[in-house]
Amino acid sequence: MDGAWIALTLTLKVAGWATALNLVLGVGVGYMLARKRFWGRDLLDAAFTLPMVMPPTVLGYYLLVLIGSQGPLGSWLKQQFGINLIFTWQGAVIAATIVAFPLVFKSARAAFESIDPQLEQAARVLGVREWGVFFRVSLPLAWRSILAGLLLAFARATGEFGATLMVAGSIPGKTQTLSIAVYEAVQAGQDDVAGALVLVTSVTCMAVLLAAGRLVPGRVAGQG
Amino acid sequence: MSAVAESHQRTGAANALEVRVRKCYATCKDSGFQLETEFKVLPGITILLGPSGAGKSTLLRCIAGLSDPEQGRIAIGERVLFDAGQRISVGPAQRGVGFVFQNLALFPHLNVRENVAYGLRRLDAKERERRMANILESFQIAHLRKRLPREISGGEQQRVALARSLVPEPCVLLLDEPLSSLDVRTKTGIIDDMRRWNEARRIPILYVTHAHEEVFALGERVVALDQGRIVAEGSPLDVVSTPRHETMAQFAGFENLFDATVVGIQEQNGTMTCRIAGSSIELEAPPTRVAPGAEVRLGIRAGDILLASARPEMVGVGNVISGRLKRLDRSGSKIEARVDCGPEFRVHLPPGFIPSARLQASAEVWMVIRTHSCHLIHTRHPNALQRLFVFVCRGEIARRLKVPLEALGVSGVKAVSAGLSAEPGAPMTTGAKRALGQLGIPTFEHRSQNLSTGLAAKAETIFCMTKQQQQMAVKRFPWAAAKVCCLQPDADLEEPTGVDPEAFLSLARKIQGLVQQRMNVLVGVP
Repeated sequence: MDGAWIALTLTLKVAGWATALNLVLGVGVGYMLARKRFWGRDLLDAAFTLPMVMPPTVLGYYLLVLIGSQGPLGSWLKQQFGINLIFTWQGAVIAATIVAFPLVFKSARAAFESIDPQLEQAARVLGVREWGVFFRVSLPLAWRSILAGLLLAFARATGEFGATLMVAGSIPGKTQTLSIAVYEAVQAGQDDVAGALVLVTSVTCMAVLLAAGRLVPGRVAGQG
Repeated sequence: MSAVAESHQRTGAANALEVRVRKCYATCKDSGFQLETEFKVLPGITILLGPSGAGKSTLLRCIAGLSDPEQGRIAIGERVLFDAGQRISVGPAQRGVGFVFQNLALFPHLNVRENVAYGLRRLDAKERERRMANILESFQIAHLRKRLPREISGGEQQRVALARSLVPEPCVLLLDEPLSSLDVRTKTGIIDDMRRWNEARRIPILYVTHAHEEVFALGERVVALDQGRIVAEGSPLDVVSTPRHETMAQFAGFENLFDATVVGIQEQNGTMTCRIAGSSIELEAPPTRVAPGAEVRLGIRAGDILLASARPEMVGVGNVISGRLKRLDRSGSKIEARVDCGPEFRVHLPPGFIPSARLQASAEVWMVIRTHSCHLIHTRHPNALQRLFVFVCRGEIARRLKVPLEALGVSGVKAVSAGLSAEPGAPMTTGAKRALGQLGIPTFEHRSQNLSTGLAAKAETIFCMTKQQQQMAVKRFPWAAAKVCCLQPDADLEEPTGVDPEAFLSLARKIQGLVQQRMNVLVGVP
């Protein structure tokens, strides 16, 4: 059972980091797409949505090509900082972040777009500067939807399998997350271990979904 | 210095807003119409009137800094907010401009208190509390402070939005049709509160509307905008009664405008009879808050008049007036008849109308006008929401003259005392200031102790204490002679000579009694 706990903590660590990264990236990209007009906006939106529709293994392959020791980013990181991301838990974080990213930026964009632009203008006229407008008007109003998106992203990151396996492999205690551990246990015929792992995973995901359900946008304070 | 603090310091001197802008719309090249205006907004309320799409909101957004014109200059007093030539454009956060949006834009996640305090973050806690208490009281929303915007009524939301824009003490207030969805009663209350708030501050208020009813209730001045250009400017009456532009006539809506005198009020019928000036034509109109003898202005839409070729026998219709058909004008599908019955009426006929033998020039016709089609659009005191009475007297008397309006329970009535002896524009004496303070009248109305032209124009009645004062007032303002009268017609209320305080006091009491009597009659307090 120790293995299961180690896998669970590792999974939560990876999913937690992936969610934290998505909070910053997803909210930033969502706000930019909702409020700024620029050439190629639709193209960018489609590109950021790709991870949702592409098979995770394909994403994993792209990642391997990009950050592998032969890849452009990977070799640069290796030379400059001596960092290797392949077969590390940080690599798993990157994979999980990318897979869950569309869930966050999509809900953030929708939430920002549903805010009446006049509310932001009203704040500006009342003497609040741009950063203040974002943190004191836009973000509080969009927060519940974003939070719901983040919880879904957390659940998605927890269950991430394909891309993580490709990038981080399956090293017990180092990169073997719950979903990968389940696969390995079944492959090895350890049905009791697999059962325990499946139970832990199911309970975790259920808890996250219940929390997300409490934050659906329908409960957001009506506008105006 | 922050914009808020700066604007706070500016409140001592009211500054006019000067606007000169040129802005091309996104569709400018196709429609060939752009915003190109130049005007000045003086302290007080100015109405920006115009149909939808005239460029009113764009103009407000340019002034607030939410969008920049291509050319022009916007300044408040000496302070330049925008100058295309000098490449100056102060950001909206630093302009110190108050803006009330059409949908109010209250922050739904904040309660009333937090909404109102939103623009006060940079003030210290003590000053913030002082201003909050003051504004919540002034706009009668103190009891709502813990509620969320969606939990309060439309009128209350409106009050909150106004309070939120005014509490940082902006140097200009812009209102984008905020009251359009409210009923008249609620609207009037809110406007009264706004007016009262602005009495001490005298900032320019630019109020956008496309409803011409609001023009008379609100405006001291009107700027009419159409297709991005100013088509008329002036007092509400000037703008509406001299439609120099086709669209203006449409706003005004009243093709027929007549000066009239109220000759009788039939309370049991709920009507008021008005005689059109210079004729014997009498019209029944809905009653309003004026006394018989009052001079009013009647507006009747040409489309509200029915034309008959034989004397109609109708019951309870209001007005049936005979006259001669002068001519029929046809423009497009619209047919306009001109009927002469002393004054000339314009009547719109339905598009399908075919002139018959009986409806030809100089034929005798009858006009049928329902009582409720006669709109009282203007009473001779331009501020229809507030009646002003002026008492001409010496400062020493004014000090003891407490016009007991509060005790009478009369709202919308203001009494003001003014002097005649000082030269116009001379500063007010400290004695007079103190007297006005005791009367509860803010002294800004009285930079001069004198009966000024503006005061005389606004006043419904000017009461003098002595016949000599009456003569002097009439000599100075001959056009106002009709409304100058003695408080006690048969005798002077001559000021006692000497310095005996008891004599002063008894005189003041006597005046007070007379004032109460006269006000009871004029204001109609039961």
